Amino acid sequence: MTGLGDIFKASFRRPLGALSGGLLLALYMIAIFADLIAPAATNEQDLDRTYHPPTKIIWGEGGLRVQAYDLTDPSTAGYEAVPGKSYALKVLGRGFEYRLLGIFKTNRHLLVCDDPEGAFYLLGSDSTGRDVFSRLVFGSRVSLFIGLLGITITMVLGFLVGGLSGYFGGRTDFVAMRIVEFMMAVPGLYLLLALRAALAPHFASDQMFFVIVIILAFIGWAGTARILRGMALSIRQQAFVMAAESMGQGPLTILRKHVLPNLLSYLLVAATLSIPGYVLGEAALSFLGLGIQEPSASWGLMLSEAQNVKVFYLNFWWLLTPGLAIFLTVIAYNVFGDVLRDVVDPRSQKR
Amino acid sequence: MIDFKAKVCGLMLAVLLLVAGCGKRPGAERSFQEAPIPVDAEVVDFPQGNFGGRIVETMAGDIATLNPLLIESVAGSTVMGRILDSLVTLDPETGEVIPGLAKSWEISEDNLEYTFHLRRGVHWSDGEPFTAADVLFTWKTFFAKERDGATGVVVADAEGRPKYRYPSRSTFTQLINGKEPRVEALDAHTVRFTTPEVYAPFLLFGGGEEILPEHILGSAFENGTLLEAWNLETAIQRPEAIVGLNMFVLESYRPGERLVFARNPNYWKVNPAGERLPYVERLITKIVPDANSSNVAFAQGKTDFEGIGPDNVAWVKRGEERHDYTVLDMGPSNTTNFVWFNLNPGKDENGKAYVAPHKLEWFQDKRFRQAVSYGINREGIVRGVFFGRAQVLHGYVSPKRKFWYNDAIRKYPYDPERSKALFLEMGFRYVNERLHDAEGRPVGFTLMTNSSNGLRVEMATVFKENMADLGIEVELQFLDFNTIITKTSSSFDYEACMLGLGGGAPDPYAGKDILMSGGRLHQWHPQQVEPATEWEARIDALMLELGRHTDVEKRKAFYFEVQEILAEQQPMIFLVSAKDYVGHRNRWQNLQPTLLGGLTWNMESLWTEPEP
Repeated sequence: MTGLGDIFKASFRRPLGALSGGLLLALYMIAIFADLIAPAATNEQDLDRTYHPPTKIIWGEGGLRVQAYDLTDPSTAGYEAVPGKSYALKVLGRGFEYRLLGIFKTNRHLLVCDDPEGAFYLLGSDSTGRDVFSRLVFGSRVSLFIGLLGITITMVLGFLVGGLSGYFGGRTDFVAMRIVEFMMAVPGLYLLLALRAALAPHFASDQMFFVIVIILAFIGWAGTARILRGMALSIRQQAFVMAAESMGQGPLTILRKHVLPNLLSYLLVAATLSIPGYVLGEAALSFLGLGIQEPSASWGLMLSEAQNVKVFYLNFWWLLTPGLAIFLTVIAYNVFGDVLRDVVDPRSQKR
Repeated sequence: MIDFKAKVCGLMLAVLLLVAGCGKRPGAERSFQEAPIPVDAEVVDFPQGNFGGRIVETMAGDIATLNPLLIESVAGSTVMGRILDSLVTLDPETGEVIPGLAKSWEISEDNLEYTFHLRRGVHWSDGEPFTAADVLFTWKTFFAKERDGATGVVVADAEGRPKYRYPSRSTFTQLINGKEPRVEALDAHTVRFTTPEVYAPFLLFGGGEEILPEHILGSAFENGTLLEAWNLETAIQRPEAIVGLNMFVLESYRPGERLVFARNPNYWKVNPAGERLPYVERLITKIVPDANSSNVAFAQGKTDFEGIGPDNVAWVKRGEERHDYTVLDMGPSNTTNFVWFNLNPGKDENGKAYVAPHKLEWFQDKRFRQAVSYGINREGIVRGVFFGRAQVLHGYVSPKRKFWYNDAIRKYPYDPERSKALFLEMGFRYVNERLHDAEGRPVGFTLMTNSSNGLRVEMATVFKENMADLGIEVELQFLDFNTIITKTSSSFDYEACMLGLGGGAPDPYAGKDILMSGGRLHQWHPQQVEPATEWEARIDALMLELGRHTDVEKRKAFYFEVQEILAEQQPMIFLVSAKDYVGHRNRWQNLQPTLLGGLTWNMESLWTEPEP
């Protein structure tokens, strides 16, 4: 049995694994250091610059500069670059105040335009003049961590129910599997819609984040439990489990010490492959207006704003970037999951 | 021999089927007899055009019924407004009351009696004559009482009021301070209404009621099934049963798909050459899910006339040349957007206050509401959210109602410093830029609004940021429209709400349900038994006077004072009013859009070369 570290090392040694794993790492770093990377706060509005196109970045006067734009046609949000006018961009310049990693109080940001006149929109601005790039960066927190949180709940529940019922068998197994079947019979989407509607008046929009994760996870554990139960059943027949039993170890100890390590590789692959489900689930719910709500940021919510017809007719393409972010995340997870599976299961590799 | 017979039978059957097949074709089944042109036909003064055109338009949302007594939706009343007509109507230029089915009227010296002279020779779309009996019948349906079968005594409801047989919106809107107007027919073409007290808007409100056909609905009225008449089943199976006096009759209806109207062959307006109008042969109304898809259909050149949302104008305009249409700016609209705080001091049945007492105390202080009003960046909303296609709204009346609009009311330009000063005056303090009240509680509230309206969601986020600049934390809650209505009208468990009002009748008295403290739509504290505050009592008194006076200048003075009180007290904090935009295809002739009447007020005179 190889350890977790070895599995990851082996995955990163493969080109696809390095690429997708690196991308995921980068995305999570962005989410963790969102305050540092984002030039503007999530809700910083500028009603004079709504639907601003992405600003050009140029090199001049010994540093990076951002092109200045003029609102030439307020009725269609038409902006035109002002020739020869630009503002200096500062690396680690001053912006809004925040706590880095929740500890160090600072107001430095990776790249900002601290000229009060200037505007720096890496990916344009939205309907109330908020920086799309900053919202994308902050939104990644919701969209990326919803998967980790959800999968943790699912896997823990799945392992407990599946492992215990596989280990004990008999009546416990029967009851647990009927519960699992019941959970699988619940139509997930409709339950979500109903719960979301019923809970809406009781939660603020940022609390809704947790509510959604928990709802998603509590529906999702049944499938995992079923598979783990089958695996636990076969592991239970192995000689080392018998030996542990005869030595008088308790069931929970056996589960933890002997069964869990044998399931670990499966859990890892299953988790990696089902995180995209949560990312997409969050996006779908927010897109339908049932997930994260304004003014909080999440990729699904931002994408739902882009659903407006004017976005297409007036070519506000930068509002579609959250879709690209979702796409990249989901692909990266799927590819990385595939690589992990190849690593932990040498047989499929040879096929 | 037998063989031959069978063959003939078969042939005859085939012929019969063919005939039946023809009969099923829309239009062919109608047995409308064309009545002679009325003696009192109205001659419409537009250049003569060609008959036979076809209008295609879209409608956002389907109809629920076509029974005029039950219609509550905009879609339903638009459709019925094409079929039914009323005694008087409004001048699309001046907004004055002008003749409709009544060619003239007199109002008695004491302002209590209204005598309408109906046009002679007018016929319903099915050829039956239109007389005073139809007007009487219409009003009878509003006020018919439930009577005890055995004794004939009027049945009373729990509160002692008589129980109506067919309670409809008209039943309640036509009651004048709880009393019914009297209607009588002096002869076949003269109707007299007597109001129980002087009631200024009667000419418009009473005369504007759509007249129902007695010869069609009379039997349903007698046997108690009037509320089931003219339902969707009727519209699908027997559209010809829905007869009217307006320029169109229903030809067919497919739920969720489309309504087809045919021209009324007995319409009472003629062109200068004495030919019966309207020019168009058919009006096809396609049903679409929402206003956005309706705008998209127009921008692709698929429909003839369209109202365009302020945020869609920019891209709809781009197709003007390609699809040969024109987009017109019709100026400010009637729609208003506003925020209000729940000022209801009541408790629910568990004894829990609707609004936490310390918050209610803030909300009830007019300085708090004024401070919030000063803190809203309305210009920014107009510029950023509406692309400049809206205007800042200072008070209850939209500037579109030029005549009733009081520009001298207190205004609240964006001035956060002034807001802060007002808060400090109330004894509030700033701690770390967060606003705390006199007892040291941080100031914040929850604002609910409906999530289906994109522009409103954007306004709400701007509002939140504006309040954050004042050190107030606003929690946004996006709910569906029906939940909001439940909260504002029965459960009252909310703190603040952002909604909009649209349309509304041109007489200011129509706002009594919103403005008077006992009103159902008196949002911030509805259905009060006694006015809770002095200023609400004053508004109640002014509104009563507004109803009782017929002198326009006096009425204007009353209404101006109402607006001043509202502006001073800020129970409704108004934000912006979007502008109206309409579009039409260029092939239409005789178009004469007006600010009040819109694009198609003279639809009977519109014509185009029939399509090949």
